[in-house]
Amino acid sequence: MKTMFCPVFRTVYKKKEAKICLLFCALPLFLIVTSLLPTNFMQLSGDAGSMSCMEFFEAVIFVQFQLTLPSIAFMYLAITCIHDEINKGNLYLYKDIPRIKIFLCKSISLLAWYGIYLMSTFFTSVFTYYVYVIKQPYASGVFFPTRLGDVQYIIIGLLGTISTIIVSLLLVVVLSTFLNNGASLIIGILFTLFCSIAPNLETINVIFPTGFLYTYESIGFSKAILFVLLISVIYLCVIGAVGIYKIKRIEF
Amino acid sequence: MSTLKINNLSKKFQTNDFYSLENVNLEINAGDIVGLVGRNGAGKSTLLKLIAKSYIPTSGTIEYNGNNIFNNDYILKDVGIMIEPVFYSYMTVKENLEFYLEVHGKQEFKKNIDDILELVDLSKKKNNKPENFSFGMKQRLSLAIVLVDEPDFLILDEPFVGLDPYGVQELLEILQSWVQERSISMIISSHQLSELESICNRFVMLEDGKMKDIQIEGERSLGQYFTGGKDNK
Repeated sequence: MKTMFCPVFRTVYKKKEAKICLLFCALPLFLIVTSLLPTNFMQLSGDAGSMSCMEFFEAVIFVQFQLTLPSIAFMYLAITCIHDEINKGNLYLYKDIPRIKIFLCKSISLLAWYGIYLMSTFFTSVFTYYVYVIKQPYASGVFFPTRLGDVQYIIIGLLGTISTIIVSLLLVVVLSTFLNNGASLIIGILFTLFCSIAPNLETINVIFPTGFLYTYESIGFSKAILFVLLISVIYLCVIGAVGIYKIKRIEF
Repeated sequence: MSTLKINNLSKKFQTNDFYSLENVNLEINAGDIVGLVGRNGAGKSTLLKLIAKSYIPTSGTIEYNGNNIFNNDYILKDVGIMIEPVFYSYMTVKENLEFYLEVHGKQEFKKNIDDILELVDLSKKKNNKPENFSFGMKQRLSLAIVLVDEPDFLILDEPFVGLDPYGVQELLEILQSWVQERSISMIISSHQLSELESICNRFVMLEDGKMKDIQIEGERSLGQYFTGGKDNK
């Protein structure tokens, strides 16, 4: 697996689609740009001295998630890595390396690229916070929030959003082994949209990793973390089982 | 022992009510250069794709060096497969060859890259991306990828299709020099019968999914065999 990961990862990050995904990391920098323009677009507000750097980062990740565009870009990247390569016959280059190993390598490469995207977003957020946000009245100027409740909110928020993106990426990977690009993308987007409104849905919110954002206080922080992880693992296991079944039967 | 042994191989696609291949038997020994001929839709590509494991057989077995290829992985590690010209168009020629070697854990063949690119006349393009290459150049790149790890067995499906006469001649010369220098086996399908004759030492024909060996006798050409005497090269 180690031998295969590096060359496969190279085939992912050298794609134009991968570079487009990374462009969305620049989102927080737009805050600096829009502050120079006479517009209310992307203007932040809040109680005086309430926003720490990590809260700003969590807000950026949440906005990126709500925008859906970065998710679509990543899903499209997944589709080009899987469906397009099956269609174009690129799998011949792998000869009879176990299919599961090939798709696992591709999935890990996609997740690694998402990890790089997250890291880059973190750095642009920190940069924006200490260059621009810190001068605003709502900024607290500290890196971590001082209130425990705020720290817990950040953790639940980030964990739910990141888990959802990971699940939706793997969902699209598996779907694109047997569905066309449009169908895979639409199902992936619908899943992400359901997850983005999940915190506001009563009862069924518990079946989505993002569903505990407003209710974690009532069930307890540790339990909420456990549920987010458990739900994500269940999704991944189901998607993985379908994936193994389908991937073994691919003909190209 | 045969290098490749196909036993009662059949393939029926789910959407079809007929067999694309039916009870095909074939043995290829070391040093055999087998020309696979037949009309369009006779099942040539289906057979080659089954050998390349991109199709799953309905019944029958394929053994490579005594191992059933569908029961084991990594059996085809020393087989070169060129069913269609495949490469990553957004990576340079050299990166494509390096990728192929790295993904199969065959870094020791990286020393072959320059020689292979010289052989297929792409050495001056090694740092170019193949997205804007001509069809012939794409075919040659694909062949370079296939040959770089010095395979023992080659599967080539219609390697001359889409090439102009000059391109066909070039590709033929590459294959001939490769075959002469090494003791390899090959199965190659093509409609270019005269080109097949210049490289193959044995011919098999597929007709409606069924296979038969062709014995070329005397001065008869492969083209004459098909047309019953009238040369149709």
